[in-house]
Amino acid sequence: MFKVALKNILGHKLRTLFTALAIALGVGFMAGTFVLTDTMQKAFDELFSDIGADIDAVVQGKAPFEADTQQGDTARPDIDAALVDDVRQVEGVAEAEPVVFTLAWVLDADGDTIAQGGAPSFGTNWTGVPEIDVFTIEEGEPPTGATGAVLDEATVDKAGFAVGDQFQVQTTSGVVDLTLQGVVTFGETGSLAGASIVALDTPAALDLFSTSGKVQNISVVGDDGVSQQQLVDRIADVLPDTAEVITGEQSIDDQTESIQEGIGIFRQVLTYIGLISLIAGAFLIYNTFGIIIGQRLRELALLRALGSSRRQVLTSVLGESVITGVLASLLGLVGGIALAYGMLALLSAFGLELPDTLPVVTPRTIITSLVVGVGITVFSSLAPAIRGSRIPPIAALREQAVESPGRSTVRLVVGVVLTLIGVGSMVAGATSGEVAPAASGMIGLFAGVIVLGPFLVPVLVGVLGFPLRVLGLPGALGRDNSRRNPKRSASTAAALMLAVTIITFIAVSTLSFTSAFNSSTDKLLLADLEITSGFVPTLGPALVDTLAEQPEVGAVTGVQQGSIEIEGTVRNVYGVRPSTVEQIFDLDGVEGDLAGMGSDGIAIDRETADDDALGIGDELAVTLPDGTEQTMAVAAIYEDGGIVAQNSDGHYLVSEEVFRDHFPESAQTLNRVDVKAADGVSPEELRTVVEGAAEDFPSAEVRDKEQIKEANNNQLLVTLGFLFVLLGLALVIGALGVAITLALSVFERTREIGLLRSVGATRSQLAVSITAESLLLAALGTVLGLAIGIAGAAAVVQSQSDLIPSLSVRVPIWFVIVVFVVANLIGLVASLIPGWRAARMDVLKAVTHE
Amino acid sequence: MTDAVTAAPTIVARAEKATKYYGFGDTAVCALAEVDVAIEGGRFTAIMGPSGSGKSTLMHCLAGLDTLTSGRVLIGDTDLSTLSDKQLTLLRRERVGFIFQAFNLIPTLTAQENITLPALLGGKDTDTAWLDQVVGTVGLGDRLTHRPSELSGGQQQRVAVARALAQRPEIVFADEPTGNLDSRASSEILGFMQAAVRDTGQTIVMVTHEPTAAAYADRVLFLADGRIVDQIDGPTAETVLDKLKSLGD
Repeated sequence: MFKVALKNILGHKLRTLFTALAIALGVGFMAGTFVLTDTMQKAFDELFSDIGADIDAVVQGKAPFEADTQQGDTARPDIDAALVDDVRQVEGVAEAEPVVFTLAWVLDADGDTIAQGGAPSFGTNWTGVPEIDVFTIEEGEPPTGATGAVLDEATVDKAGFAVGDQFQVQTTSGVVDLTLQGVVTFGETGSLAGASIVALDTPAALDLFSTSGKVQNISVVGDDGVSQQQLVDRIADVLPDTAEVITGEQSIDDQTESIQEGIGIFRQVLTYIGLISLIAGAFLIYNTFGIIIGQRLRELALLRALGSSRRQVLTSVLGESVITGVLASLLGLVGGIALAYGMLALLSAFGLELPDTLPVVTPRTIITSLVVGVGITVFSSLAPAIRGSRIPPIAALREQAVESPGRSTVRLVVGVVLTLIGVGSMVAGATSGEVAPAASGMIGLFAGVIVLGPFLVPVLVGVLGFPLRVLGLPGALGRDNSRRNPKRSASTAAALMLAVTIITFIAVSTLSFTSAFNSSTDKLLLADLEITSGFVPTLGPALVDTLAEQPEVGAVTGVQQGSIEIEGTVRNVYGVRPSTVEQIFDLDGVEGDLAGMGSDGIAIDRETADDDALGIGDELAVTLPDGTEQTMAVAAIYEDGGIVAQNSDGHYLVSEEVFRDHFPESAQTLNRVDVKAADGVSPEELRTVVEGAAEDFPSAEVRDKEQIKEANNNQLLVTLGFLFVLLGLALVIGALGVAITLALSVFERTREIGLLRSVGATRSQLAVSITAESLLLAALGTVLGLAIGIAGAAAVVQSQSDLIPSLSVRVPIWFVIVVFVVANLIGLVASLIPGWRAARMDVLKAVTHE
Repeated sequence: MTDAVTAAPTIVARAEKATKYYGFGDTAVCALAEVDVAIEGGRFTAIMGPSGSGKSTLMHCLAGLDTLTSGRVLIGDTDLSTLSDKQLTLLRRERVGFIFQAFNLIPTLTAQENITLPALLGGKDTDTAWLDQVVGTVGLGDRLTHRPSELSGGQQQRVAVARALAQRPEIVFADEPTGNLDSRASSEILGFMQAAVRDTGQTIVMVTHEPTAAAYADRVLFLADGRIVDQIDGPTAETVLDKLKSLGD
C-alpha cells in the first residue's frame, strides 16, 4: 500500500509541491526563527564569556527589591567608587578596579552622532588591567589625563579619525572635548555587537561619565590558587549592606540570562507567527486531502473490493501525508536556515553586527521542524484518511460519488454553541473590563464560524457574488461553482480567514488605541513642545534645568520612569517636577498640594486612592532602589495620570528629586521632556530655544502636538506594515489553499469544462469563471476574517474603555479597502494556474474524459 | 418535406480526403483514411460502424472538436483547418449544436440556462418565440427552472436537444445521444430530432451503434476501418441491422 501512496505523490507532482509548500512556509519560518535566535544567543554568550573570562568576582549594588521594568533592571543601585580600596585590602585579591558604564555618544566633525539607528553608545573607563579591560590597544596609547580617550576601531573608521585628533563626546550631562590617544579592538571582530565605545582613564571617566561619582561595579581578579567562591566569601565580609559580590561565572550567567530573556521574547513572537502559518497550512492540508479522497473514492473502493483492508487504505493515505510532511519539513528547514542567513545579513546592514558566527543549527531545530511539520501534516490528513478507509467496496460500482455537503445537524449545533460561547465571552469581557475573556471569546467565535462554514457559504456567496454579474455568464458560473460544495469552499477560505482575522484584530485595536492616545494628547497635554529620545531614555536631567532657566519657557518637566517598592509591592513610578507638572499635564482635577510635593511626598491617582483607601497625608512605607527605606506621605490625589504615563498606568508620581537622589545612573536619563511657552512667546520662538537646548542630545527630537500625533500614526503604520509582512506568510498559504482547491476542482470538472468549450465558451471566458470563483473564495475568507477581527478588537477595546478615556473602536475605511485589495489580489493570483489549466484543456479530451 | 429530399440538396458540411492518424511512426493508428463525405442540409444523417471504425473521429473532426492529419473539413464555406481556437469556439457557439451521450448539462445552471447557454456565452438574447417552440416541442415547459440533478436522464437529454436546437445552428452533431437512455426515452429523443429535421429543416448528424436509432435518420453512412464503406437512404432497423451484419462478416 505504501507503493500506492508513493505513486500518488509522483503522479501529482504539482499538487504535492503546493501542499508541501504550505507546510514548508510555516516550518521554514519557525526553523529560521530558531536558527536566528540560537545564533544571536551564541554570539552574545561568546561575547560575555570573552569579556568576563578573566574576572573572578564582581562587586555590585544590591537590589533592594526585584524590579521588572521595561528598561531592564533599573533597580540595582550604583556603588561608591571608594569601595574599591576596601576590596583591594582583601586577601587573595590581585586586582580590583571600579567600572563605569554609561551612555555616551561620539560626535563627528558636524556634531552628529556616529552611531546610527539607535545602536548603543557607551562611555567607560580604561583600567589598565588587561584582565578587566575588555578591549586591547590596536594603535596608539592607552588613555591618560583628563581628556585622553580611546575609541573602538569601527567608530574610528566611520568617523575618519586619526590618533591625535580632537573630537567631542556627548554625555548625559553635556558635551566634552577629548583627544584620541588610541584605537581599541574587541576580540577578533573589533566591535562589541555594533556598539560604539569611548574609554577614558578611570579618574577622568568617573568625572565625566558618572554624574553621582558612583560606579556600576567593581571588577576583581583573584590571585592564582584562590577559587572564585573563596574570593567572593572573603570580599563579602568587607562590603556594606548596600553592595553584594558575585563570582565572575555568576556575572557571566546573569548577563547571558538577561540577553536570553530578550531573545526569548523575540523568539516567542516569531514562533507564534510561525504557528499561525502552520495552522493555516493545516487547514489547507485537511482540505486538500479531503478533496483527493473524494476524487479517489472509486479507486479506494476498488482497492477495498479487491481485498485490501481498511487499515491498508488508511495506511496508504497516511503514507502519502507522511511523505508530503517529510518533504515539506526538509524544504522548510533548508528555507529556514537560508532565511536566518538573510536576517543576519539584514541585521548587520542595520548596524547590529554580530561577531562572526555561523548560523547555529541545533538538533533541536531539526527535530522540532520535522516533528511539527510531519505532525501537522499527518494530523490534518487524519480525518480525511479515516473517511477514506470507511468507503464501502460497493462505492466502486456506483456511478457518481457524491461528496457530503457537510451540513449535518451535529455540525450546526456544535457551530452555534461555539459561536454563542465565543460571543458571550466577548460581551462579558467588554462589559466587565477584562481583556482575557474578550480576546479568548474571539477564538471561540472563530472556531464557531469555521464549524458553521458550510452553512454560511451559500448565503455569503449569494451576497458577495452579486457584483460578479458584470462578468456575465462566466461570473455567474464562478459564483455557482463556489457554492456548489459549501464545505470545500468553507475550509478553503478558512486559511485566509485566519490570517485576515489576526491582522484585522491587531490593526483595529492598535488603530483604536492610537486614536485614543492622539485625542488624549489633544485634550490633556498642555505642553507646547515635547522633546523625546525615542524608546531608550537618553536625555540628561540637566536639560530640564537648562530649559527652566530660559525666559521663553513658562513651564518644563521631565518624565522619568522607574520602580520603587510601596507597602511591599513593586510599583511603576514616574518622576516629574512637582512645581510645573500641573501646567504641563491636565490631570483632570487634583486634590491636595501636588506642587509642594517634596522628596518625601508621593502623589497617587483617584483609582489607587479608592482601592487602597488612602487620603491626603496618609503615609506609605517605601523602599527606594538605593536601599533607602522611608515613609512617603500622600501629597496629592489626581483624577487621571494617563497622560503622564503615555496611556499606560500613571498611578504614582514622585518628585524628580527622588529619582536624582535614590536611583542609579542608568535611571537618571529621561525619554521625555515637556515644555510650555511663557506668556506671549510664539511657538516659533519657543521652538528655537528648545531646539537649541536639545542640541546637546543627539537622539532628541522636538515635537509639537501635531508632530506627536503624526509620530504616533507613523509608528502605527510601521507596526501594521510589519504585521502585514509577517502575517503575509499566512496570506500566502491562504492563496496556495485557494489555488490547490481550484486546481483540484478544475480537474474534477473536466467534462463540464469540455462541454462549456464545445458549446462555445472561449478560453478567456473559462479563465474568467475560474477567477470569479477564486475571488469569491478569497472574499469569503476576507469578509469573515474582517468581521471576526473587528468584533474581537471591539470587545478588547471596549473592555479597556473605562481605563482610557476617549477610547472607542475605530475601523478606518482605508484599512478595509487595503484588506479587500490584498484579498482580491490573492484571489487573482491564486486563479492563475488553475485558470490557465482549465483554459488550455483540450476540448475533445475534456468532453470525452472518463 | 418531400421537396427537401427531391430538390438538389445544399451541402452543410463536408469532409475532403479527411485522414486522421493517432500516434506517430510505427505505432500510428489510422482512424480515418481519405474520407470524402458531404452532409446534406435539412437531413438527418446517421453514422454507424463497429467500434474503432472511426465514426466518432469523423464526427469530432466534422464538428471542429478534433483536427485532421490531412485533408480538410468545411462547414458551409468555412475551412475549419484555417480557424484559430477562438474562431473555432465562436463557430461552435453560433453555427454548431452538440448533443453528447452523457454529461450534457452544466450542473449549476437551470434547464433554461442550459438551453440558452451558447447565447449566454455570446452575450446574446435568444429568440423567445423560437425558444418557446423548441421547449414546447421537447415538452420541458414546467421543468425550466430545475437543475440537472432534479431531472431524469431522459429529461436531461431533452434539455440537451433543446440547447442544440435553440440557436438554430447550421448543423447539430449528436454523439450516441440515446446511449444512456431506456428505449422509451430513446424513442422520444430521436422523435424530437427527427421532427426538428422534418418540421424546421434542421441538419443533424448522429453517431450511433443502435440500428433502431439509425432508423430515425434519412440516411445512414457506414464506416469500417476509417473508410465509408456503404450507405442506406431511408433506412429501417432491419436494413441497417442486415448491413451491419454483412459488414461484420
